Amino acid sequence: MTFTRRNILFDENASSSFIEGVRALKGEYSGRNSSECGISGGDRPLSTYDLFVIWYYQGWLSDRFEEDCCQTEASSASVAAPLRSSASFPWRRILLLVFEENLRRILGQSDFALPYWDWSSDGDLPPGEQSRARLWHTEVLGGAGIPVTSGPFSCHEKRSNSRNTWRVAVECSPCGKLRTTQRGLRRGLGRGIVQSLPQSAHVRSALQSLQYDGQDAGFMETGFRQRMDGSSSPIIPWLANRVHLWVGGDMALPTAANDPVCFLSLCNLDRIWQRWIQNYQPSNEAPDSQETEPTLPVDSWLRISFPTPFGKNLTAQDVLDLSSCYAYDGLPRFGKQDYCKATA
Amino acid sequence: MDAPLLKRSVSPWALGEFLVHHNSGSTTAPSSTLEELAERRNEGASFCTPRPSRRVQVRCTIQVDVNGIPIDAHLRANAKGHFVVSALPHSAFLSAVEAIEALAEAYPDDFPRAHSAMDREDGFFALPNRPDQLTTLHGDEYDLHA
Repeated sequence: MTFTRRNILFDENASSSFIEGVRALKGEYSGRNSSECGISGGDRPLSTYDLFVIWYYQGWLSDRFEEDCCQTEASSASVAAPLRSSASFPWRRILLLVFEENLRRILGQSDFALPYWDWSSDGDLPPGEQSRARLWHTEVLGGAGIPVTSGPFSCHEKRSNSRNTWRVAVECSPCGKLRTTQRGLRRGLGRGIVQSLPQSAHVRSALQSLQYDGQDAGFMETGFRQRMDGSSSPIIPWLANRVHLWVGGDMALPTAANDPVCFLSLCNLDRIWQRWIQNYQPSNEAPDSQETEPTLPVDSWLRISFPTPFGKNLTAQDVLDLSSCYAYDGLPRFGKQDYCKATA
Repeated sequence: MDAPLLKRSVSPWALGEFLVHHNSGSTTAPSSTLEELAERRNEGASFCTPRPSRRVQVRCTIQVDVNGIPIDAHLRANAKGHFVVSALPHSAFLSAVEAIEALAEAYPDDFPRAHSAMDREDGFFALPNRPDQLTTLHGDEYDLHA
């Protein structure tokens, strides 16, 4: 059965189910404690949601951390930190699939599909209006604050023991290691050094990259992946990193998944990647651009494998076509129209 | 990738098994009090170029003190000459001091500072808005709405 992932702002059912499901996962004991995961700061029970925070963190950092400038040999070698490497898009796709399936399970909704946040639409607003976009209203995700005090993921110190309080349980320390904590969620929403979200024009520009990785990855950020991830650009990063820094607070850390908006943003990245894949599959019609007829580059990134909870490593090649699992209600377009109806 | 496999493999217990065992060691976390951080100074960092003609490798040692206290900020320079810290994976900085200042802003509990007139009621510190630093390799592609 194929599920349709929809824009969270256009589907109230998806929005309310997402919030309800996330809060339920946060309240579900996973059967694991923090000490089992080597997390410092006192042994604490971990919720199922916390496991996803740890998994996302492991996508950024590990003891086998490799600089993004040191490219993995073109082989099937596993990648230690997939979010810093060519494996970022396929790795995120697996994370989202597992997260989505857990939401389905805990909601008891077999047809639930993860919604996405099209941040480039908000990025097309004037910067002063972006933090007032509907996503940040109290009835959706709530607004900014240290801690956030509005919306479903708020924390009020006076009723810190309330079941309705969202408490961050695992965070990254300044030296990059996990530790336990008990505090509210933090968000900036454009109050840091990045004051505006990426715009749809930036997405269209990235989609025009013919290659997944640039020829000289690490130096020339010409590939789709580098442009979308935004790795290593100083001060003002590219797309995904820019979103994280604009939201700020917990989203700026390797434990960004503590803020549920992280999953909505990752889902949008996956949606954009799906568009890129669709554009460049030889069997598809050529896009309405003046570029030469594109083909999906069979590069080394397709063979880089990464560990998954499915009991085996997967490669990007394995997850390119998941049309049997899900589709998007619309994919970004780099032509004349803003969106086109398409299936993943 | 089939749906039955997906449902079978993603129970919280299975995910926990994966995180604990498959990534064993990847989250081994020392305590992060300032005193203990001080014991774990940056001992070195290296980077190399992927250029095919020759392999260039540079190793450097970085020590960071904040208010006189040495800290392990996992600060390093990448091959582009930008500074990065592990705890701020979405950012790169043109100077090491900027990187550490950003780290301190991101971790207010770990880097407390005296209240001043700059502190705002909502808890956010005013970050410097320096147009001279808003230029990047690709800065011309962004409308910064200056």
